[in-house]
Amino acid sequence: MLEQYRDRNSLIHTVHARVKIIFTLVFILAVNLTPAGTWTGFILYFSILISIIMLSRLGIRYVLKRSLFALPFILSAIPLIFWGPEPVNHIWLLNRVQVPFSLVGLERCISITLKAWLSVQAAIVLTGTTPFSSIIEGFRQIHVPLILISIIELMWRYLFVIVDEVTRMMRARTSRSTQIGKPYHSGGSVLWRAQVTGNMAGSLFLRSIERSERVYAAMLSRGYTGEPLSVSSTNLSKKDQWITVFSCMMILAVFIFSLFTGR
Amino acid sequence: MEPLIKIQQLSFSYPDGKNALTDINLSVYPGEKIGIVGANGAGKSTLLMHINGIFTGEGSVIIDGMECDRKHLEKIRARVGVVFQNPDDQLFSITVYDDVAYGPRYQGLPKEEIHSRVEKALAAVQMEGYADRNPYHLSGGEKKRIAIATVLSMNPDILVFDEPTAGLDPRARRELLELLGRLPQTLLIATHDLELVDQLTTRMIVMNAGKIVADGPGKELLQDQQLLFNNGLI
Repeated sequence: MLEQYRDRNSLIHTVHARVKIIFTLVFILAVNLTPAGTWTGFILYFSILISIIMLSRLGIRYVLKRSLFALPFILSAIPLIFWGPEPVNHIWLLNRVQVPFSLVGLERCISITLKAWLSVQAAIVLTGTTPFSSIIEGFRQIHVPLILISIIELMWRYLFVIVDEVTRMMRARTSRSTQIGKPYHSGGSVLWRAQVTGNMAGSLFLRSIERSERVYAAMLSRGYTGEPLSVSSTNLSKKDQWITVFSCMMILAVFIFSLFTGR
Repeated sequence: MEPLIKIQQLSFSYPDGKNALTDINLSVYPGEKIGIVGANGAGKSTLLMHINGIFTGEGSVIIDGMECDRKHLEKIRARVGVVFQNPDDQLFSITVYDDVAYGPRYQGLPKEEIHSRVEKALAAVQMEGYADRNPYHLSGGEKKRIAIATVLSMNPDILVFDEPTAGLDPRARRELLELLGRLPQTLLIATHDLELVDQLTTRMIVMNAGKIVADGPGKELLQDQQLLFNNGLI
């Protein structure tokens, strides 16, 4: 369920992981440095992305559904509409409540939303077209600090273990969440249930910490010194080099265009 | 007499397509003590998960006349107490009291009733003094007892255990066997512990690769060395 990789036979799948990582980073960087309100720029970024999604055969629906991950970022941008920069207008609701409203804030809010959404989609294309092991391999080759890579690797490895643990806890709770019929009303209060859920999260946290200590002890006893292993990197093929240069130039072109047209 | 649990032609595959149960037929009568044995991956736990509807496969599972479907699930779960293998999965509250009280509280029972249920359940597992302790800091055997108390407090008719003696030291195991022996409910115990089956149960079910391959009195089946060997039990 968590595994994002979709095995398809497409051009994007065959491109070297390193190329895709570099492109994704450049894309995310460019999109987020693009000034707010550069609508043409965002449309151009989006069309580049859509073309890649089409080429990758991931399916637009698949990508769009997963891009809902961007939602929390959007929530954090909403206050900008009300408490954004000057000029702030005031709108009367029902002739009683006065709500501040900033047009510049709204523009920024929409820009942040678009930026978050585009960035998340780019990341989805990366993880959807590249197996996890290749991404890690790619990180190594572009010299991401090894300690960061081991953190990501371990996190990925134990994420599944913890998800299993959560599943088992939920099952055990479900088994005891029962009903005996009238006159008793089952379920308890919302507050009590929230408390139980909080306790479960706390217990999971404790168990995770203990597990991490056990795992670390097991790593130490197999000779782990805190220094992750390094790997030799292979050279990119001509085709991959060409794709890297071409795709990054394209993003750069859109970025520069946006700088001139935006504010 | 009507069976308390009636399972007919039950088959189940996991979402990843792995076949876990094939054509299970089983009737359990009130008061029976049943040991379910089989190698790892034989389908014991999966079968137990069907008895209170955590998993639902094809075929029918009827508990005390109630079909195990969405409509009856919560009522069935009140009748079937499941004790999971790892007590840490089951104990999530800050105090033992809260954990044992979870079931009755969820059922919406009045305060005094909850209190008396908790006291009775703790007494039944001989853990009376532990109400205010944090379950996280108890020993393996103590956690197991509390886990049993958490389902006893719902007054179930059927108790289901998944590997109850796994990971216990000899004394904790012996005390647990004594405790299980005192329980009046209908018992279904999935285990690798053949001694437990011999001591506590009247009927033994052998599973292999998702099927029931033998069902009969434990005293007889346990003598059949070939059967035990073929199913990875010795």
